[in-house]
Amino acid sequence: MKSEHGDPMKNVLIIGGGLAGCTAARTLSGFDIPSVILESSPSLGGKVRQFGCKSGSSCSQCGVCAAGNLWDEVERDENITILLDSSLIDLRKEACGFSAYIKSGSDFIEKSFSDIVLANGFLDYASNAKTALDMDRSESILTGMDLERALYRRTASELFAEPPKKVAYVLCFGSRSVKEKANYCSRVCCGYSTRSAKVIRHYYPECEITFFYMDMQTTNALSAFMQDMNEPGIRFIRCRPARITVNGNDPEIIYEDSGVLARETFDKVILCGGIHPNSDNVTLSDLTGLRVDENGFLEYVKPPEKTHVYLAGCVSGPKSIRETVAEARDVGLRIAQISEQDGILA
Amino acid sequence: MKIVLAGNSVRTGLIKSFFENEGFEVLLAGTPKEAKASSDGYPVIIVGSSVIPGFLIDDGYAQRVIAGLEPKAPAVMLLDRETETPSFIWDLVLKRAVGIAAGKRHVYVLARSVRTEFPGLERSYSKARAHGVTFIKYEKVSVVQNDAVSAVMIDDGVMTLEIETPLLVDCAYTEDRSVLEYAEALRLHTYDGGLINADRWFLSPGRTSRRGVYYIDAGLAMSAQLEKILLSIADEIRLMAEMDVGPAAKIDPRKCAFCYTCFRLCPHGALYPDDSAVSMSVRHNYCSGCGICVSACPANAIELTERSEASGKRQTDHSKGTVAFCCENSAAIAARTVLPDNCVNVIPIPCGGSIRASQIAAALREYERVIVAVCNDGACKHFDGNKLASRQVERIREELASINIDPQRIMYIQLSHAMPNVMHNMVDNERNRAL
Repeated sequence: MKSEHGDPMKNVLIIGGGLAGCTAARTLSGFDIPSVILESSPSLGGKVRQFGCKSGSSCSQCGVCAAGNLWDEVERDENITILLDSSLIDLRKEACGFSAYIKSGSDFIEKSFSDIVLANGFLDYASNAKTALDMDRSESILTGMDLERALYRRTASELFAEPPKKVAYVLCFGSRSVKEKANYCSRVCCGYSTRSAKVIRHYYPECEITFFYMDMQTTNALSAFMQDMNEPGIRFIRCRPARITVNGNDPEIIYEDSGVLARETFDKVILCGGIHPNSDNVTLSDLTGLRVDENGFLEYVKPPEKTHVYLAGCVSGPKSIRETVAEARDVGLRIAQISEQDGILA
Repeated sequence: MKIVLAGNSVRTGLIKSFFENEGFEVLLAGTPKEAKASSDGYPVIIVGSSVIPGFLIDDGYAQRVIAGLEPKAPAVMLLDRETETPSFIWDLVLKRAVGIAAGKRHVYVLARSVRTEFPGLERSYSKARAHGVTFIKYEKVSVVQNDAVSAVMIDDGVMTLEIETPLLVDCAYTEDRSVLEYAEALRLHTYDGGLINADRWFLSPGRTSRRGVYYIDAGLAMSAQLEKILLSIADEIRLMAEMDVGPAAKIDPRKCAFCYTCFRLCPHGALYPDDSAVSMSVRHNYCSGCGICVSACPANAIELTERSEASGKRQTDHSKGTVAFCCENSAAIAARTVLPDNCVNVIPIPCGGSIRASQIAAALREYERVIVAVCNDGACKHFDGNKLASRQVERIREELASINIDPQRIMYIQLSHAMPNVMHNMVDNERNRAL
């Protein structure tokens, strides 16, 4: 299928080298459309690259495997140019496409592109909040990202350095909360908390696990899975904890149980943090003319086929790995199809 | 381009016109037998039709029901009564609740859990709340149903509440089990007691275990998701027709004994008995190149094109002492991440199921230790490849034990690419043990 689809006029700028950006680049490359990935950090892969496997005794369909070989494939792909440590300084609309002014390391590059894909991802709320709330002095309070790293680093016999006896998950940490300016569901934390809880039980079968939750979003993939969670040692408490503090070395949660205030100490508290909009979104909205919605995510004003600016991944709202991959592939296919139509018209 | 729509859904017509607008020629198959007959040549889309309460999807019907009620009597929508209500039903419930509330009638929405994971639901909730819809989360519910008025008792663990209503809508949704006959006829792999597509990450959207066979639940027909799924299926069918097939099984008709072993074992239904010749044939569109048939064929009549040459005849360095056969979907990626170049010979294989006994035996002659590293249970893209590999390893271990060779020279692990240290540790431990 090479060269048939190749369109010399097409050159796509992808902002963000995470799962969405890399998937879109690979899809475009399948049609021989060159792309440039702009990544602000020193390596490709974004947050998903740090995610660990959530299988205990068997696979729990978390979707991390969808990323599997992607980073290597992108690095090897001749159609894809990767600019690390780079950022977009300015973007100018021209008669046919865009002119982008890019800072890459200490160099400045000016280049023309036909389409822009925004895939700059999300802000991990829990990691920031943990620092702000002075919780980071306790190593026993983990964020979702910390847990993912632990899952990635695990060995056959060990998940944490010390076997925990009591673990608490705090769901909806920084989401579904007007106070945190995030009046929406993060849509991933039910999934990763229940899946990783099973891994913890797989390593430490005696470990007691408590979930502080609002509503479990368990219907689709998770419903069969949740039935297994109905076992001794796993508690579900429907409330939002009033406070999380550190008592000596151990974290303590103060919460309401049937109308009474209760205190409980745990070995580990896992904050299942929300997906918050990236701080770049406002700048990108100014540069591209897209709108910032009431939650701070970007949304289309006109159909992207008209403006040639596309959104992929969590830049437009919380999404699971599976949804991100589907959307990024969709964006790639749409750009490729338009390029086919252009070819026919020319 | 031709496609086949199978199944007896009320929404088949809607989906048919969608694909016709996309430029496909649509054939209909109303029985599993017809679907099976057409599946040889064309992509098949099985349309299931789960049942959604008519009150939620039929505006006219709902209006007639509401018009017949006495004014000011409250309406009750009951969710999660016996089974959990899927998120997309919530979308319908909220729209209907807003409709009723706009007619100055009080609406209670009762549920165990509020679903928020479906895109756009948050906005619908605020709209419903603005219209005065009351949401109550309950833990226990009991219903006394009379002709005119039903009494609903709910208990949330702290308080109880009784509501009397002339309009009680049970929003339960019934899954369509008749599609399982189609699944069986088309030899689809099913999960967890009959789910065709149980949200496997490699089976979305709408894909099934066979390439070119798709499954859509037309219960989704009212939601915005359906069009997205249909579009991506249309894209994929077009792409499949254009793409090079890639590595695929190739059968040598002179060697084939027509024993049906590959037909039984192929997880993708790609091998079929060819009536015209005395040899099995390969449906190239369906073959994923996993190599399971290659390892299973007793006559060595099958080989993989392309990929087999890359992996099988690789130059290896025997001085390293250990060789690892790694599934390229999981273990090979992990090995590339953590194993230093100079300690293990890593041989990527397309699937754990493709490993042959002869391959392991040959490796044992040259290496001190052999590692077989495959995917976790439930993560194998080819469904049972890891189990086939495990059985293969067990068999060889037994053989070795019977001729007094240490069976532990073959090691078998299951892992995913996102837990690389498991691989690293095993190699390390082995090396320490050897020293």
